[in-house]
Amino acid sequence: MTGYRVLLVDDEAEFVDTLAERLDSRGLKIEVAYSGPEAIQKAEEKNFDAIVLDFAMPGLDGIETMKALRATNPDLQIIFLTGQATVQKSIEAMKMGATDLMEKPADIQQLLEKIEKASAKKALLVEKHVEDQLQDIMSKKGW
Amino acid sequence: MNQTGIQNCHEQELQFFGAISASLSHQLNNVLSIINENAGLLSDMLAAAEQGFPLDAAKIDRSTQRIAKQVNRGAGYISRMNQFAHSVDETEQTVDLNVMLAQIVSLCQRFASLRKVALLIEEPAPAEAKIQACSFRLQHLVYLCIDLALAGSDQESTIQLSLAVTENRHRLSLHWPGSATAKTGINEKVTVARQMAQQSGGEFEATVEAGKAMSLTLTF
Repeated sequence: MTGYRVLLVDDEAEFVDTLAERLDSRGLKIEVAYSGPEAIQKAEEKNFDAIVLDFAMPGLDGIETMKALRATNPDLQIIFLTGQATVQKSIEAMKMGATDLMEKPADIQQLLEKIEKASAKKALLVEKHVEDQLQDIMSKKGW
Repeated sequence: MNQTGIQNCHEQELQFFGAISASLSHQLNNVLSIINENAGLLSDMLAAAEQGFPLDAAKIDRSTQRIAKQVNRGAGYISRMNQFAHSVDETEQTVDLNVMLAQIVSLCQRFASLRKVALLIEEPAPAEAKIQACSFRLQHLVYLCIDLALAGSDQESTIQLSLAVTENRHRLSLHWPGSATAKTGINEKVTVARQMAQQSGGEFEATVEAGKAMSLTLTF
């Protein structure tokens, strides 16, 4: 469970900072963002294996943030970590392409498992893209 | 008011109660989440110490201070929740409008902050502003006005609330800058607010100064 690059996004600074510290001590490479626009900017600058995102944030909410993130990078794996998981919102999030959903207060072991699963999915997608590109090159060259 | 009107009012009241309860429970959940993470961090440090790593006193101090801060924050939410829940106890009582306004504005702060809008009670408040009314209905009415104002406000704007007393009339006004663009459902909300004001023995007025500002006024 070491080395996964994870972006934590939540407007509750004390929550996100403490969670970052705990995940960091478990060997993950953690970055934090306190708003949707900040998360979008960080995701443009760096590559993340998983993004842990809150639903209710001032301005741009979690769903809108996910839409913007996925518009530029459809492979991004997004786990919603929220205290506002109504059934309707959860269904909306999963339909929009969220990888997973978890309720606050979070159990760190469960969160780690979800991050690991999401990162593995991301790795598979990247691998598939590379394979597709290779096949494309080979077919163009007639091999 | 006819049967349909009464039923509509009851539905609106339930929706109001639900919206405030959901908002407070969400905020309490955030408080618990921060306490949970800090308790977890202390536990992580203890586990590391058992393996021979030195305890970091500054980190322990920071975490315990964060927990204490969140306990105070949570107590504030519970106190507001309790006052709000008891506002339905009596159908008529002496309501201090200054206190009622402060309470409902604090209950609505989260709705405003999610829209990146500020709610500001103008100073100075009248020295005495008391009326005989149902506290819960009054809060509901002000909530409807704040909800209307939020629906018509742009991000980063401020909604100013002011209370004035003249010749035994109490006037609560909400004023905010805005494009005055009609937004979905606004007319419906205005109708409901007007009905609710009448039911509480008051008047409701909405004024739009095209392209410049919007204001709502409640008079009792």
